[in-house]
Amino acid sequence: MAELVLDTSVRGAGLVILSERGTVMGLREVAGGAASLQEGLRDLLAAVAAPVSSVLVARGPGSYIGVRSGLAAGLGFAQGRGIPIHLVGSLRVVAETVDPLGARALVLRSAGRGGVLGQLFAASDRGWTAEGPSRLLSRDQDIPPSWLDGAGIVDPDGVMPAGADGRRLPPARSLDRALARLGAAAEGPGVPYDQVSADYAVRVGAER
Amino acid sequence: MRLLAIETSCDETAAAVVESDWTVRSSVVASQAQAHARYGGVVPELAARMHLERLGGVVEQALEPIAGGLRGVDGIAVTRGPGLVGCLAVGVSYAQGLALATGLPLVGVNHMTGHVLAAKLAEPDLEPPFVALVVSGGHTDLIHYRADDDVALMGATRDDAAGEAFDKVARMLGLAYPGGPEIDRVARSGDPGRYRLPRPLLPDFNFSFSGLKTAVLYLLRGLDPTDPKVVADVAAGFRLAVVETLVAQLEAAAESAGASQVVVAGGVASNGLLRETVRERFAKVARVVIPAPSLCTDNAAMIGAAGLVRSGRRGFDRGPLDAEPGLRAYAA
Ligand SMILES: [Zn+2]
Repeated sequence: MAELVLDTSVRGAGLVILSERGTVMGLREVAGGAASLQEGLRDLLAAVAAPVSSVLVARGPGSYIGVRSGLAAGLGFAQGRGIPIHLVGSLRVVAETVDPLGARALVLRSAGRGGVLGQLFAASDRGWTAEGPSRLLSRDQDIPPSWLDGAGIVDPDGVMPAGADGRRLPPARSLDRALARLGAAAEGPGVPYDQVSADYAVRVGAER
Repeated sequence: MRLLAIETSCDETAAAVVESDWTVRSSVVASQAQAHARYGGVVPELAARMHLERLGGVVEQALEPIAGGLRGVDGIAVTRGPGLVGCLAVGVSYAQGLALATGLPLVGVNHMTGHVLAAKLAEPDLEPPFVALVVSGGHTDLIHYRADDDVALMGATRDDAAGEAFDKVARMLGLAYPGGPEIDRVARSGDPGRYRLPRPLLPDFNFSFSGLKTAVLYLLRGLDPTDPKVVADVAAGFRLAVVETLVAQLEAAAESAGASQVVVAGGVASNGLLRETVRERFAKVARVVIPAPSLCTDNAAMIGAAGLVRSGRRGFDRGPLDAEPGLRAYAA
């Protein structure tokens, strides 16, 4: 029994097959585009003999087409096998690369075109738990002080605000080990096949 | 051979099961028209988002009448282009996931060929050659379908597609989106002879609807567009002008190709007046095939039909498929 994990929300992420114990049995990077995703998936499934019994997909935020392609492929695969599909926020995946040293963490990622994605997490016995929705700032906006309040910063893309360097939380785990932790935590029947949706991040200032 | 077909190229999320004897076992279409109506046109980002949210349920529904569900089908057909890139990516990636999970073979098909081959679902004994008028929101094409891998474009629109012109004129008349069905509805009570609009006839079987659209704009300046009688009469006059233009070029093309069969397909082919007029004009000279309206607007059964033809001729696709937003219409 194994779990197929897809994270196509950012460059450098990819496809992983995890064993029941959470060890990485296979890993493929995908370049983007439906054909590359398909090739990676086909190749990975051929290389890892263990039968896949569940699927975990990063639901964004991140590249719109990347996120939706990964979700669609994961959904098709899960539905085709009749196995559960679980969804996880892309920024949560990044949060899981860091040990919960403090009580809170702010994950920052570049959203391309000068945008910045951010989400706050609180430490819990199940790893990091989101404190609120993922948010998108435009190039010209400052990071709201409340985001920084008491939070260590996880910042793989270097989009940290000036002067906040001291709060940087260094990665303690590789991305595939972060995925392994999340895979182990995803149990149960998963999301119904007709309720799979992406997370597009709330634009800061557009909230009511 | 029984195919599960998937269509997500624009704003309809659709799945169908089609048999090789051209029987449609199921055809499910989740229309997004209402969601896009308030923007007056299809919003690509919103469309892609909705495809992802609906596709799983739509496929489940399409498989309901099939004993064994997915185990009861022999292959999967999916639209690979042309269309909106984000929308196509959802359908293609989903179909690939499904194919990998089940081991079913996959065939990628051309959406526009699908529109034409919907005619096979309407009249299975239709065989090429034939001339087809394909009219939709994005296309107004006259094609010579000589054989399944020999399709020649005889003419196309130089500016707006007929469906687009319907949408724009509907907006001028204060009618809802999508404009085609609305104009068709309102025009029924109108007098098509009250306002004479131009019939733009270009050489070489080409079309141009922007002049006609501008003529409506000028005409409305001197009229009261809130008067329902005016709206109905202008709608009727406009519909007649579009239909007569389309049919005149179809007649010319059919004659030039020496066609004994004509097909009318695409979303605008669900227009009542266009259907009647083509049947009337060709009654004595050619066989006319026009699919039922539900097979003219975007659907997955037509993708299944095109998938049957393509996989029958060339086999299923071996390598990975990509979404091809700019795929040339009718390309094999
Ligand atoms: Zn279409």
